[in-house]
Amino acid sequence: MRPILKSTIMLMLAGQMTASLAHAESKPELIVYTYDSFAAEWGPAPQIKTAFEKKCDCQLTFVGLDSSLGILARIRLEGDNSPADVILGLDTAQTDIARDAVARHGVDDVAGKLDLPVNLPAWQDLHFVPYDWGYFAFVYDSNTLTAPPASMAELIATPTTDLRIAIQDARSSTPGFGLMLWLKTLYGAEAGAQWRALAPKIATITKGWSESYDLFLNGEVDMVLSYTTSPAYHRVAEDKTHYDYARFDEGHYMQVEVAAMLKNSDQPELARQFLAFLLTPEVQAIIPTSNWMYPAAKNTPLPDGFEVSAKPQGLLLDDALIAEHQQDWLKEWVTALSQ
Amino acid sequence: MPRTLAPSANCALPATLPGLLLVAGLWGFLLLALGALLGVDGGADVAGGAAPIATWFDSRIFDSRTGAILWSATSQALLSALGSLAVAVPASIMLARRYRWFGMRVLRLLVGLAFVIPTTVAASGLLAIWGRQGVINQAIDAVNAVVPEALPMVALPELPTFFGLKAVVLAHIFFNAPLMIRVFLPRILSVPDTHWRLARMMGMTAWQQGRWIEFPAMKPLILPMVGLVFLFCFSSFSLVLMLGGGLRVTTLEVEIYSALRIAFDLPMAVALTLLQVGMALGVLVVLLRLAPRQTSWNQPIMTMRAPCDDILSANNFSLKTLDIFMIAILVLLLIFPLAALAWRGVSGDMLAVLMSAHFWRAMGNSVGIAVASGVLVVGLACVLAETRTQLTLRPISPLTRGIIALLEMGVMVYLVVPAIVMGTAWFILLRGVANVFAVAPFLVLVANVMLGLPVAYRLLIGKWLAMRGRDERSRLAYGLQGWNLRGWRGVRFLTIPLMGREIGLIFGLAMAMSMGDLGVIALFASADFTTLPWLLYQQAGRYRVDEAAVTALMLMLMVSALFALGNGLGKWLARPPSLYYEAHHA
Repeated sequence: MRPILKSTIMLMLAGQMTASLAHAESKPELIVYTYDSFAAEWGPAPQIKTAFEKKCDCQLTFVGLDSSLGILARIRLEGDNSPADVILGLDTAQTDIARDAVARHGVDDVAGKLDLPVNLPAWQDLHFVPYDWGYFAFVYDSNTLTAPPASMAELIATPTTDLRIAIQDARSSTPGFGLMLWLKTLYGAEAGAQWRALAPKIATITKGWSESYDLFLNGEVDMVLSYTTSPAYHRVAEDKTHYDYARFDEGHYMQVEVAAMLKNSDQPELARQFLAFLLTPEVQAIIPTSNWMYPAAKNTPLPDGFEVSAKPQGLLLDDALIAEHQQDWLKEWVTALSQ
Repeated sequence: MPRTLAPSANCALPATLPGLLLVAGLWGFLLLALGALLGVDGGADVAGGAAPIATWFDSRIFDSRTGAILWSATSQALLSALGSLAVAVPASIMLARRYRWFGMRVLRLLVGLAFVIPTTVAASGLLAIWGRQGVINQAIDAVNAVVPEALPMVALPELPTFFGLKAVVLAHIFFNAPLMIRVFLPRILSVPDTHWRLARMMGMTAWQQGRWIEFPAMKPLILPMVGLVFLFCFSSFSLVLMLGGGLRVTTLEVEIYSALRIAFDLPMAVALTLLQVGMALGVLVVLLRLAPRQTSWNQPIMTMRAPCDDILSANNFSLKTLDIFMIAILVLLLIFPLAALAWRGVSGDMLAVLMSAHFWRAMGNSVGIAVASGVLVVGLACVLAETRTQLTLRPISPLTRGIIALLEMGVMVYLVVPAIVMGTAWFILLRGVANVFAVAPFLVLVANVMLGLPVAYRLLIGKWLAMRGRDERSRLAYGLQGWNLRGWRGVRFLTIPLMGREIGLIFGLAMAMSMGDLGVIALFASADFTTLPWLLYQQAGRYRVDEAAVTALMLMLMVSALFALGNGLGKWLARPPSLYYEAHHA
């Protein structure tokens, strides 16, 4: 058994090497690390690849990793030797941690191109280019929940028997981490106490988004932590209008998804070209119905039913602040919910 | 002709060397993996988070919360293991007693299925029964709707919320009781006829029979199985989080995940992994020490027949009622959730899934890996079992004892090393050598073999030790006295016929476990290579719940088919050897 296995591996390796040699001879290759659902055949990646390859005379390769946390872990493990040229899919909670590994994006006037919520300061990050964004929100079914809470304070104050919610673990899931930042933004040093008050309404905390969303769709909880664009999915893709999100007066914490080129990229020119390409109408039009997020650039048309009410206020913490305090905040979160 | 009943070298597999190498490989690989994680530098400067080694112990690992987590994980796992036992022992006795009842064949097949469904799918099946919108609550609502409003005191209360420790334990029983039944039932079925006849002559009651026949048949495997199930539950992660209803019910795995992924504190991840491994092995040592070495009588070697004709008390009315009650519990606990999943699958978007090339690619990959993993697990488990037997034959010295302990632990340890730790370590080890995506199928295969091996070894070792202690008697039974049965001929004419059933069982189990395991694929999946559990995860992750339901159903069907294949193979292998010997030489 063993020798067969070994020789098969060797053969596969050899195949891999000749394949990459063949590429090297023909066209330059731009390697983009992203998360799985972006790279999947139903995600935005295949369309972006076709569009970009028409322009660049290169080969664009998306490598789909398990999550945005996976992208971060991968480039940290690979260090300076990473074969990746571009990382796409981190959000602003993670950017400061990756900052040392990336180069300046060099894209002109990013701030002028963006369509972020008006209450936020202009985009000033010199390393990361946003390509889409969304708001975290509690999604509910208007057939079963007629009076959702109108603010975070109201949610926290709701009597336990009236409402059961599902959220995600801040240690393993981006929305879960986002909710932790949301309460931190609203309550600062009081966040722990607010979590304790929220705790009795939490039916369960799942590892990832899909488990809690499944619980919600099966009627096990009244509300689930997700995105404001989740009801948009149900409206646009399924024609179901009874899902909505609870609009909170204090504003909604946001996820801004960004891309950047690695310092050690061997294709810096192509990488820059790709980053600029992300904000073109061509790519931006793909985003809403393939990634189910808001496109980042101005004047991108949205499909019918994607947006049925005005956007809420956005909340966003400084990424350096997050990087500095995340361990303490996570500890506070876990402690509050373990009691 | 030697007439000793001691195991002779006659039908030995090639002695201990391959097994010892395997054990060394298992431990070496674990150390290599953990070493690789510790060897990565540069993490700290990007993260700005990793603490110097000296401060781990006081400030990080042994803070008060770690103690609470370990306590929570240990007590949950023990409760789950004992709960599974409490279901499996009476269920196995009942299933043996009522072997020929109508529909029992289907019940036996379905009962075995739960063990291998991806955990989060199974959790959703359980919720379809016990949850807020589950079958039971809907039935209660229906009853309450009929009850006239004039009689409010008759109205039934709804079930309390499902989430919490009870849900986790119930889910673990759902997974692991079937595994125990799979192991216990054949033990009862292979009790010699004479025992049953004796019981009949003496007019034993069902209780006495359980005390003197059925329980002793299961006894040697009870503690090892409790240990195995304990390990499964101790390191369960997504399921515990999903049903735990908060952070009070928790395991160390989520801390390890967070150390690797958010803090990027690899030394911390290694330390926590070692803590988890140490704790689990500690409990395992205690359980295995307590386990009796020998069966109270020699297990028969050939027959596996239903004892029902010989059981006098089987016709007793109250016993029949009790057994029907037990069947009802099994159906409620194990079959209903499966039925709910199957129903969702049937009413899901069947066409969309079955028409997608992606689905069939994933199915092909999963089946290929499952078969390869089944073959490897059977081979390796036999090698380990034979090595263990040979070691027992040697004069007992501290050295042999040590080696035996290393072997037993080395097999089990991979159950409690989190997939993400293993996957990250592989990535570090392979990154300079190979494209990890190109070797992904092999990584998934190795991970699945390591998952299946402990179970296979546990199922094999008891009977293997007994069988090798009775070579001579087996030869008499098969009419093979005087034949030269060295080497391969021994394997073919003694080992395979004697162990055929078990080999078939572990082959089926290993394939099924491999089919259902998400494991390391999350780290190495790519557009070119996915497996069925990963596809399921992807579908659920993009709102396609009805496609996911279909995929889950297909996965269950495939797993049943592989189980059946394993069983069939087992029956075929276990034919008495002289039959085919004569067929070849007539």
